[in-house]
Amino acid sequence: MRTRLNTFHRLSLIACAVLTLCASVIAETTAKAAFSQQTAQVGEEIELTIHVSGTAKVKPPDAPRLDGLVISYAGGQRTESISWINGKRSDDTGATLTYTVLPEKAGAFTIPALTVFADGRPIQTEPVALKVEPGKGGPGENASGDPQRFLWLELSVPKTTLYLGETVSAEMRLYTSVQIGLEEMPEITADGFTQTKLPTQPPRGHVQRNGRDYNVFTFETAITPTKAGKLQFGPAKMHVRAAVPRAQPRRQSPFPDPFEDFFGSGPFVQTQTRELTAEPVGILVKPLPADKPADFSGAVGKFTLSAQGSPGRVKIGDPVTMVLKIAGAGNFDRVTAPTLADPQGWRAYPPSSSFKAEDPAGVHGLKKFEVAVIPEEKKTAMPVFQFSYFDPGAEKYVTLSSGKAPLQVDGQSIPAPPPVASTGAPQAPPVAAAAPVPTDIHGISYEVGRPASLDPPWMSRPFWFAQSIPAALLLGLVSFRSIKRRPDAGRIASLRRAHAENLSRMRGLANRVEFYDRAVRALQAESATKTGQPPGAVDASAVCRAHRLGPAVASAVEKIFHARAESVYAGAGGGGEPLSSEERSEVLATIHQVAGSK
Amino acid sequence: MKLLRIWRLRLSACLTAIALAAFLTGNILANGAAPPAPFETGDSLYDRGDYTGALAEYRKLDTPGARTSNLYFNMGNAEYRLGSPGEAILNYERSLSVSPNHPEAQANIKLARGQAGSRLLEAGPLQRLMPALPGDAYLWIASVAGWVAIFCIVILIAWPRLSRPLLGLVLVTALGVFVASGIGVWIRWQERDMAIVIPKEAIARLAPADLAAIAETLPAGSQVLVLSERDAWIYCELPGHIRGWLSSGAIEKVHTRG
Repeated sequence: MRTRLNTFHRLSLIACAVLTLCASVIAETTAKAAFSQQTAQVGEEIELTIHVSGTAKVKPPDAPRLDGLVISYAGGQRTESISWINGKRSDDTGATLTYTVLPEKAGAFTIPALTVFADGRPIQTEPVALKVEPGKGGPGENASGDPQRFLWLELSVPKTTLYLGETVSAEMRLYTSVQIGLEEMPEITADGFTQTKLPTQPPRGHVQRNGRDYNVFTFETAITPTKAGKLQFGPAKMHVRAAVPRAQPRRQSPFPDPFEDFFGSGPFVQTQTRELTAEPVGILVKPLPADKPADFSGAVGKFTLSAQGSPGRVKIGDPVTMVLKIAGAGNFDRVTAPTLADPQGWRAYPPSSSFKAEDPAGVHGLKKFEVAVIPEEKKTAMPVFQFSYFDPGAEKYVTLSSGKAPLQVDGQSIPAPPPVASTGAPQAPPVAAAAPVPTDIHGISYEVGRPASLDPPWMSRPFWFAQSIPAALLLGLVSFRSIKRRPDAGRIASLRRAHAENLSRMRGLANRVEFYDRAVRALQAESATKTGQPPGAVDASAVCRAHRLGPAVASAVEKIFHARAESVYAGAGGGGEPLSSEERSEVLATIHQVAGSK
Repeated sequence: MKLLRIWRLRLSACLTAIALAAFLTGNILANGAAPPAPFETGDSLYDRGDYTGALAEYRKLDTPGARTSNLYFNMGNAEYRLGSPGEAILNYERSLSVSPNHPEAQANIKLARGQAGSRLLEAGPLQRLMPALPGDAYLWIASVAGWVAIFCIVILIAWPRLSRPLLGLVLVTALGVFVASGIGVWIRWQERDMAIVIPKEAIARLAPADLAAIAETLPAGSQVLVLSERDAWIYCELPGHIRGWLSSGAIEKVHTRG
């Protein structure tokens, strides 16, 4: 009994000890969130820390998303502390999770309760409040006057008043005093403008602002307004990954961040993804004046024109190659080839062109045209070309002319083309080299001509009808070839010929013996076509069977066979009687009846 | 009685032959009809200098079954006189599409293109080799050659005792003509997607948007090849082997239905 009691006491003591230990562990694992400061200003970066005590095995919660606060997880670190309470030593192992908080707007914010997993168990923090006051620099706090600022974006346009079609070089500049990496290409909202592609490798420069050194990346683009009125260029947005300074030095982290290695960050910097925004620039776009020159093609800018022709001596009809160069700044895509100031006596061909940009945006450059011009009469100077554009600086249209360079043209003038009659009759096509140069179109045709469909021919009825003719022919050919000939067709044809021949001879015969012999042969030939027997083997009964003759015709047939036998085999007594016309008709009728029967 | 039957058969055969002939020559007979009045009215208006009126009269005939090479030629002339080089060149192209060897249309389109600075699509090597025949001429040639080849093959199989070398020669020749004219049909079919720039200048862009970068600026009368269409934008092959998007109102196809 005592032993049992001791055992029970021991087990109870062990259970109590285990429960006490567990309770103490659960009670000691806590998580507490706190801001590095209770009040912050817009644009001022502060820290949110979550301290977990009782264990260092923690899983950081996702950064909370709040409108007006940009919160990013910056890393975690293990903490160990030793404390003495009432003479007893207490060892505490924990972790501190750090988040950077960038206020974007003023107001009161509350970070809700966050769930931290410590040793796999969820622990919740208490909600924490933060008051954000407007910054000194106004909304956004990204004014360049902020000495603490290390990263911002701005748009720059050289002029805020443009003419329609005027091309200027706009810049988007990224200022930074920290190391950055571009996550994506910037986006510029430019409704009412065309813009060229931004460079993927922007040039880097250095500037000093408010006593601080900044790297500046310049994205240059050419913008051209496509409509008049008050327009906005921008805003521009860009995402960068930046190594920004920490609010306070930190201790060694148990959670290494690969980006930190990339940026070479240490205990004083941390990497963050930032969305940068540049304020839009207001631009007034004015329409072009109405008094446009006739040859104005839409070129707006400041240009110069130079021309060079070669060779200096040609014959009439031989081409002079004019190289026309338009250089300057403006919308070169609207710069077209200069036109002949006086086309009289010249024939110009469509030009070829090339453009060489002198800046990345293509605002400054040189456009070169090559035109073949043929003198059609004696000339003493190269052709004069002119080019019109609108100068936004001078606010007027300018017409440039190429100079008059000397040219010697030999030979006789090409005669003027004779008038062409406007008839529908076909005329010989003009000969390329020696033919007179046409200056006007040929007149109309007075004949309407034959209507023709522009549909493909296979959609027309005559085409398919025409195809049906050879198709039917082919079908007939194949059918003809495929019909099998009867093997006894020749024999039957021969018997029918014999039948017909005997019948025709019978009509003129007076000899009784020969008449009946022919009559029997005709019947035998006719019946042999049906029985397949040799004609000589066919007798009267075979004829009746073959033709399924009635009793009267069968009797007449037997009579014919009998008469023939009598006349042939009975000698002169059987064949001496003359043949009466009634008998002849009767025999012939019997043969026809046999031939006509089935 | 027998004679009557024979004459009946002969009569019905004659009637069938007449009906067949009438069916075959139906188009020809119809074509031989007097020219429609709007054409003559258009001509007289053109001669009086009323090009707008003439064009309106000609357009009345621009319907399936009434289109002629000369109609398009006259329409091209009226458009030229009205100062619309793009429309003029389009109509000359249509005239040449119906009748590729129309000499006046050839001369006028050359002049209009030169004045407008039109840019042309480069002809491929096959196009340069093929003679300028209408598309349906190639199809008819291909059809005849194809049938000759089929008959040769059937005869060679069905009557093997006939002259094989001669039939073989005819067969090879027919097949060669069939392939060549088939290529002609294919080339003409490709050209059905050709379109002409109508305004004095059309801007081809790299994307189907008004603000997209410019791929090329094309003067009136320039040729493009339509590749695909998306809403109000048409993706085209442009002269110089580049591609770009043109507004659908900027170009018009040479080939229309009917």
